[in-house]
Amino acid sequence: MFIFRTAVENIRRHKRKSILFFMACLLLSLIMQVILINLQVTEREYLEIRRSIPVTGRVTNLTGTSSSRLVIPEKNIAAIENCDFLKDKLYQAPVWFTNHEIDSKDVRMNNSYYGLATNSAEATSYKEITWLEGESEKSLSDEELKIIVSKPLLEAENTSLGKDLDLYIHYQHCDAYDVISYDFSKQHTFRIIGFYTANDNEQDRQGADILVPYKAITALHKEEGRRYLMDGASFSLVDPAEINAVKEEMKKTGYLSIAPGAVPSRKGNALLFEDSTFIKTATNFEDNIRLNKIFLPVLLGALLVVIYLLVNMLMQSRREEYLLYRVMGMRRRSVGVLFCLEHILIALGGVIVSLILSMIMGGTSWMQGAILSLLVLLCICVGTMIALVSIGRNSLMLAVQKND
Amino acid sequence: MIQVNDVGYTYQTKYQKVEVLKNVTCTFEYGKYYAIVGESGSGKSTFLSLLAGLDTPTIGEIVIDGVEIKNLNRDEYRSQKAAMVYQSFYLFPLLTALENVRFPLELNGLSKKKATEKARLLLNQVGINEELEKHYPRMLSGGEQQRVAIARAMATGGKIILADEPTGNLDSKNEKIIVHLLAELVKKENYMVIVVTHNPFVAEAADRIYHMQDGMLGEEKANVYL
Repeated sequence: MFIFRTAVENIRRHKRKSILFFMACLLLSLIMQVILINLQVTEREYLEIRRSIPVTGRVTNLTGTSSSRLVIPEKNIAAIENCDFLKDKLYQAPVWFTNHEIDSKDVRMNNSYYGLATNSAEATSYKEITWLEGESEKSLSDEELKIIVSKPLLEAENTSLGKDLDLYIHYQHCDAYDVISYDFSKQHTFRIIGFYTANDNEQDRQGADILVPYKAITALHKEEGRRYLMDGASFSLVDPAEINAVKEEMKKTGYLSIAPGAVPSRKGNALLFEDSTFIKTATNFEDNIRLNKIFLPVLLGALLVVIYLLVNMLMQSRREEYLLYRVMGMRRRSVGVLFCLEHILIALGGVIVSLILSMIMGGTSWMQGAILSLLVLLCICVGTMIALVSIGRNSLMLAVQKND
Repeated sequence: MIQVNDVGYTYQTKYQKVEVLKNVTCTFEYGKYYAIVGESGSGKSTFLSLLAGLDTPTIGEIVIDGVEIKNLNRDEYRSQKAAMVYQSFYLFPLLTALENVRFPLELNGLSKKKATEKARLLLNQVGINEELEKHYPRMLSGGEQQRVAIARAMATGGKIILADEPTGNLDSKNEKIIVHLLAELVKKENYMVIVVTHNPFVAEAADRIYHMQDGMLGEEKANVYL
C-alpha cells in the first residue's frame, strides 16, 4: 500500500515527465492500433472485392473465337451443371418449330418459328413477360412442355395465354464436319405459359418467337434417341477467389485450355473466363496484405524498442532518486516495484485512451486492443527492470560516492 | 557497539584494482562522538560507507551489536539502525521537509498519520518549525537542509548516525549549529555519531579522533585540536 501510494504521489510530483511519458505511450499505442486497423481494413476490402468484382465465364470453341452457335456435348453441360463453384448458369440452343408438317431441310426457309431452348429469360432481351397465373421464370427450369411466345405468334395462331399449342419441333444435329442439319420431328403439345411484346428494334425483331425450357427439349431428344446439343452456355463464379479450383475441376471433366492456333471448329469444349480485372485487383490486395504482415511484426518490434529506450531514459534521469531509496534501506525489489508501478500506471492511462480512440474510429476489437496494451505494458516492465539492473549493477557505495 | 576487525576493501575498475582500505581495526560505542580525519582520498568515506552497510569489506569483519555485517540484512540495517548524512544533504528534491522525514517512518511500517506526527516532532527537535516543514529543499538554506537530513536520519529509529562531511557546504554559523546538534544527540540520547571530516572545528567536538592515511586507520588519538 505504501509503495502504491508513493508511486501515485511520484507521478504527481514528476508532473512533466509523467505527462510526456503518458503522451508517448498514447501515441505509440495508437500507432500500433492504426497499423493493425489498416491491415484489418485491407483484409476486409479484399473479401469485399470477391463479392463486388464478378468473374464470369462461357463455353467457347478451342480457339476462343466463338461462344455461340456451338455444339456443346451433353457431358460438358453436365460438368457445368454439377459444379458447385458456379452460379447464374445460363444455357441456350436454337430450336425450330412449325405448326405443320414440313421437310426439316426447309425449316429455316418456310413458315417456321425460331425458338430458344433455355433456362432463363436472361437469354433474350425480353424483360416484360406476362405470365400465366402460377407461372414464372422458374418454369424455364422445368422439364414440362411449356412455352413462352411472342405476341405476334399468339395472334398468328389465334390462341391465348394458358391454351395448348400443337407444334412440330425440328431437331438439329451436327456431323463430324460440324455441319448442322435438321431432322423431322413429331408433333408435341405445348402449354402457353407466358407471352412478351418485342420492342421495335433490330435485336428484338430477330429474336426468338418461342422460349422453351431446355430440359424439356433435352428430354424429348432422349425419348427419341437423339443427341441434344447446346448452342451456348455461360456462368459466373460463386467466389471469384476460387477461380483456380474451378479451372482445375473443369479440366478434369474434359474441358480443354484455349489454343489460339488450333483449327477453328464449332465444338464447345473450352472455357473462356473474364477474370483479368479480378486477378489484377486481387493480386494487388494480396501483395499489400502480405507486405503488411511481413512489416507488422518488424514495426511492432521497433515501437516496443522505442518504448524500452524511453523507459530506460526516464529511469536514468531518476538515478539519484533510486540511490537515495536504496541508501535509506528500501529493498531493491521494492524500488523496482515502485518504479514499475509508476510507469505502468501512466502507460495504462495512455493505452486505455488509445484503445478508446481506436474503438471510436471503428478500429480494433477489445481483444486485439487488450493484447496490444499488454504488450506495451510488458515492454515497459522489461525496460524498467533492465534499467534498474543497469543502475544497480555496481556497488551501492561506489554509485553513491560517484553521485556525491 | 561496532567492532571493526582487520578490515580491508578493494574494488576493481575497468583498468586496475584499487585497494582503498588496509588492516583497519577499531571500535565504536554508543554515547560517543567519533571523528575520522585525513586527507582527501585516504579512504575515510569508503570506511564510513562500509559502516553504513552500503557494501561489505573484502577482508576482515565488521560486527554490529554482535552480528557480523555480512550476515545482516543490510537494507533493514540502514532503514532501522543506522543512517547516513551527506555533505550535499541528499534530500528528495520533490518532497517537502516534512515528507522527507516522514518517508523512512512510513517505510518502516508506520501509518501516514503517525508518521506525520513523529516527523513533526523530529523536525521540531532539530529546530525546523511548522512553516519551514512545508518547504521544499530548494527553498531551505544549507543549514536547514542539513538539519532536515539529520531529522530524517533520526527517523530510522536507530542510534547510529554516520555523517560524511556534514558541514562541508555550510557557513561557520550553520556549521556550529550542526555540530552542536550532533553532540546533543550523543549526550542526551546515547547516539553513536561517526563523522568524517577534515574540518578541525568539527573534529574538536569529538570524544575520539581516528586518523586515516592511505587506507590505514591510525591509532586513536586524544583530541589533537584542543
